[in-house]
Amino acid sequence: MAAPVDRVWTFLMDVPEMAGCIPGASDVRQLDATTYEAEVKAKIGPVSAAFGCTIAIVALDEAARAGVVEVRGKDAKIGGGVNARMSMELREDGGTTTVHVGSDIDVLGKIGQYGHGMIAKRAEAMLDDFAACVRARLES
Amino acid sequence: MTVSEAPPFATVGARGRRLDADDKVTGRARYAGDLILPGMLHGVIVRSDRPHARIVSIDSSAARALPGVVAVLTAEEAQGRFGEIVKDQSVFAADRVRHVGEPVAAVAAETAALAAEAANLIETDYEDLPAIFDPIAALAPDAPVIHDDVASYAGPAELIRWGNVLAHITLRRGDIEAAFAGADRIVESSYAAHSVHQTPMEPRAVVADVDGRGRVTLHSSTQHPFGVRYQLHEALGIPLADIRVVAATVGGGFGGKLEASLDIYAALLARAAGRPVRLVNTREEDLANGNPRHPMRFRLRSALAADGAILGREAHIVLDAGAYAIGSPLIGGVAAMLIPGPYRIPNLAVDVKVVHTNNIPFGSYRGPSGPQSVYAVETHMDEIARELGIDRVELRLRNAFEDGDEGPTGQRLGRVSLKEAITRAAEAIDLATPAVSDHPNTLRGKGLACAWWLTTTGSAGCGVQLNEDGSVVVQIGAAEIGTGAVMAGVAQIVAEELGVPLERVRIIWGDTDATPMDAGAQGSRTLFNAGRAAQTAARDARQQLLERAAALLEAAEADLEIVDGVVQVRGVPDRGVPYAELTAGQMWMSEPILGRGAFLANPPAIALDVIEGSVFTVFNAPSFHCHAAEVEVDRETGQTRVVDYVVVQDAGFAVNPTFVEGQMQGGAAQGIGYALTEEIVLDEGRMLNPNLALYKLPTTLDTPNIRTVILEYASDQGPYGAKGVGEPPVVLPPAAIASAIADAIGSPVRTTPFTPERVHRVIREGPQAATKDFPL
Amino acid sequence: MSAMHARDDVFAAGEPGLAYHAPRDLEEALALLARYGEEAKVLAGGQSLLVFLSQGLIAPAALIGLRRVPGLDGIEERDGGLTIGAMTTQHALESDPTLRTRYPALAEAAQAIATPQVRQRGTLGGNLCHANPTGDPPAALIALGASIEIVNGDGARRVPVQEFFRDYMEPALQPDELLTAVHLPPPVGSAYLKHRIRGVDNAIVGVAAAIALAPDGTCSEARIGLSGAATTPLRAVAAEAVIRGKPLSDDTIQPAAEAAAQECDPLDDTEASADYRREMVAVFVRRALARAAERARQGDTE
Repeated sequence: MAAPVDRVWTFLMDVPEMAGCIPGASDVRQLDATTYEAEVKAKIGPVSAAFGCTIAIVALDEAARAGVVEVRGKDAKIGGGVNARMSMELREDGGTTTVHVGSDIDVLGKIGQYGHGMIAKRAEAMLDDFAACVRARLES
Repeated sequence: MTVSEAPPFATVGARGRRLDADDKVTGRARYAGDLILPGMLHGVIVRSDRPHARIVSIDSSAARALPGVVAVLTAEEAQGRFGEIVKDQSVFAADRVRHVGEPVAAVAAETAALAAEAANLIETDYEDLPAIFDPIAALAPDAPVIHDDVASYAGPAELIRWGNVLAHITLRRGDIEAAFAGADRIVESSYAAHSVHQTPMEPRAVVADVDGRGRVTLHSSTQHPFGVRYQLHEALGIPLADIRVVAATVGGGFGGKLEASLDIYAALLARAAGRPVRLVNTREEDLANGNPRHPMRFRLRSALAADGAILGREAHIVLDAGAYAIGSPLIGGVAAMLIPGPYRIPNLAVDVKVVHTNNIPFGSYRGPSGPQSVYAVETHMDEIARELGIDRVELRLRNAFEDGDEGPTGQRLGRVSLKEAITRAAEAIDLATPAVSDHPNTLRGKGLACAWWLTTTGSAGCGVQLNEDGSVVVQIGAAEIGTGAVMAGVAQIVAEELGVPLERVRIIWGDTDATPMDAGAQGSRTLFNAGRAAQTAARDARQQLLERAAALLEAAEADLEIVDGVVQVRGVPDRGVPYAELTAGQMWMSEPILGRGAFLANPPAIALDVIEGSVFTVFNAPSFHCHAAEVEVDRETGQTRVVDYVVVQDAGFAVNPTFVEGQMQGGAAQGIGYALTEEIVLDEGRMLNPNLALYKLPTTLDTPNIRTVILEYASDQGPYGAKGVGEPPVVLPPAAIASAIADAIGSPVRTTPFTPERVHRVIREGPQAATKDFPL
Repeated sequence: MSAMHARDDVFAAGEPGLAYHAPRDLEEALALLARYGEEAKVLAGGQSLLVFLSQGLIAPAALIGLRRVPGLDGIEERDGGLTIGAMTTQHALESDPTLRTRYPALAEAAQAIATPQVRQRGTLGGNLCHANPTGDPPAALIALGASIEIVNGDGARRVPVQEFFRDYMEPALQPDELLTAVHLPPPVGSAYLKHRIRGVDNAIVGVAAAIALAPDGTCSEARIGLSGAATTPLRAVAAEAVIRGKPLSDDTIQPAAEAAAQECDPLDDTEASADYRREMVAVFVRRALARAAERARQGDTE
């Protein structure tokens, strides 16, 4: 990412701002210092899910520019949910920043049975969209 | 007892029609899920979505506040421990969950939709704990420990347990070191076998009713009414007399309906609500939260003489029990008995470790540990044959058990059908003639596999009553789970012994209030045990009839015979009296005719010093089997099709050949599913394919014609010499098909199932180490 | 027929919160679609839709059943090609003599669907609108160069079939539009081959190939449709380019098969890994091309 590490870090830690780049996310509200609520809509084929999500920053290392975020979401209508754990680590290299993202996403209940192959692909695509959005915001 | 009847019989041994056939084929049969009781609520179980976590809190306030929700239960409302062999399970997880799907709460509401909505409102806050899914890794000294102290759970004194090992079973015979030191050749190989689900047509279902004093009646889809009653008593502390379990029509069980599962929650909810509660699994719930077959790993090493004699075998077996024990310690013992195969091996060193992981608990499935163990042992036998340059059939015949041999734990075997089974199966598939493909894209191969299996003991009771019109009502505690063991077998036995046509017999079964005790439809035991109890009860009733007739006819009992429900003086047909006349006055004028039968089989004696740590030590009334298969393999895709299949099975005596053949064909079809298509795919303890599109049960399109050959080597305890027939046919197909695939492609396949992708890889890359190999 | 009407009656009787409409003509159907927009689902044979519905994965406000709309089924020869109504059942496709002899790829694809029971009710239009990337007819129609007729209140339009599959199970269809027919151009040599685990399963990989031969025996036109090879049914354009204009032999077919394996991007799931699927694309492209070429040579298209 052609942006300095501090700028990227500040953006990613500003959850309401950052959530603007999560595909389908809306209504971000802060609950306490490290916990947020949001609604995330996702669609695979004819199936649309609206996850009421809790986003918690469970580990944060300002100095190392690293953090772990846990997302738990439920869709009451279909009967399913999502549990995700994403770790991030930023490294600066001459004015540009590399963001290392590790993600472990479990889709639960009926939506999960839909076929994990497609869900994994869709999650990957959402992550790509997120990255593209962050890049667009910070590089401009 | 001695079997005194000389065939031919009038009713047993014939292809009679089962008493429940009409209801089943017309759709009138009433299953548990069909019941609607007045005021009935709908229940749902809330389950953990974490494989291993500490429960920080459970907030059920929103669920309780939802209008229409009548009962919400968690560990706060219901404590209590239970378990088939060790008492390691809680009704609800209180502070820790150990597998995905572990019950955390239960809800009863006016409608199923409301119950589901309420369940969704229960918020459980978890803190994940390190989890482990690989049983080999779970054996490592630094592995996360799933139960803080496995040895602290109440259980049989025999068990040797520590860390994540809930049972360590050893079988030691002879001098294993000398056997290997004196061997001409040593063959070593390892195998991995996967998990499959019982997948009965009918998922688990129960309706619980409750009376004003809290007495519970369960209408349950169960294989084991008395077992369910005892587990409820144990888990919930309800006196046995306040629990009635009535088996509804059971749409298949295959071992999956032996344990109380939904029953416990339905009873709890009904008592809490004071109203009937229905709990019926969706297919997804049934598949994802069942107690499927154990994943197993094998490392086998055999010491061999150049002529093919097996001098000794060393084996390390690991059986993944999942998060709770259920039947696993016992099933590990069954595996130990299968490792020598049906062969004379004088020196043995078998270690079976039954290990906890954070996978779903694995449990009883028709022939538990059988398909996996027989696959490993028989593939190992083929590898030995290849290594020694000895024909596969020849190697087996050279080592096969013979009449009067000793089993691995010293039990004395009676007549052994194995050599006949091998010869008949090899002939049927024409094993001597190599399989030839007529298409350039395909390879063909033939194979065979052998095994021995048991008939489980346990008590059985039966009452036989005659009505005033001479018709017969049988009360029997056994469960009819679709095999025909009760509704054909027991009916035929009673008809035979009483000398009445089958149409005169009616049966009430599987009701803990109304029928005598029985140890359940498990371990191929129903006809052997319940049939014997029914035989005794019918003979008792017959004796009472003879006594009454003797008095009436002024003849000696010894001079009487029974022909078609008429007691007559032998040789004087016109001096006779029909049953109806003997029983017509029984309401006021004579005692009712009431036959009693009770049975507990007496298993063979064993040498106690050879097996340690096991609650399972002997194969009662063993039977011997051989299956043969021909397969066609697409050399470019690895796709395997079974083109011909033969089951040769010792039934002891086929009380009804149609249903024995049904078991042989159905079991083989299920075993073919294990071999080729079915697999529970777990990812970090979560099932990835919990529906019947992704979980690949074979259909009629995928199942070949299955040919059957019944052998009858009579047992000394089963009715007319019958042995258990239900489990053996599912045990051999993975081995027989592996043998045929190896013949076709020239390499053994050391991991199940034999999916196109796996076989393709072996064709391209040659024999693979079992995918998850482990050190000795 | 009685079973069909029983099903209609179930919906007519009304699931809670679900309206059922059985329009009598196209105009009425389109008006209903326009009225409900995203809230309605079109019910053809129901073999895919009802699964989603009974699983609770979708909760439309209304179902619009097409069974009473006249003129939507049947197979008709037109302009040297064929027009197939959207409501034509898969059973009708697999048993139609014209399709079996002149468009065998489509007959074979129809026959490869699930079970006889499903094929009795399942329709071509329903299958296409389900847009399952592991379905069978989409690959066959791609190979046959089909186009799809789409109608709304303003009129009709045609799109090439491969443009109809926008994303995973997402057809390029607006809420007020209806797929009414499939048009096939004049026939060429074609074949559909399917690799699946069980007889009832969707494809691990399915390949349809269509070949036209020039008088000199070279391949004048080639089209290849793939199932199980991406998140949508896929046209293997790179593979087609390898053989177009070339003589058909192992020397050209093998590189085409490899090109198809290169251009696909299959799913990785419990049925098969992406790597295996990719290898199988190569195997089945080779086999399907060989069979289509053989049919083209035999003039099996007439």
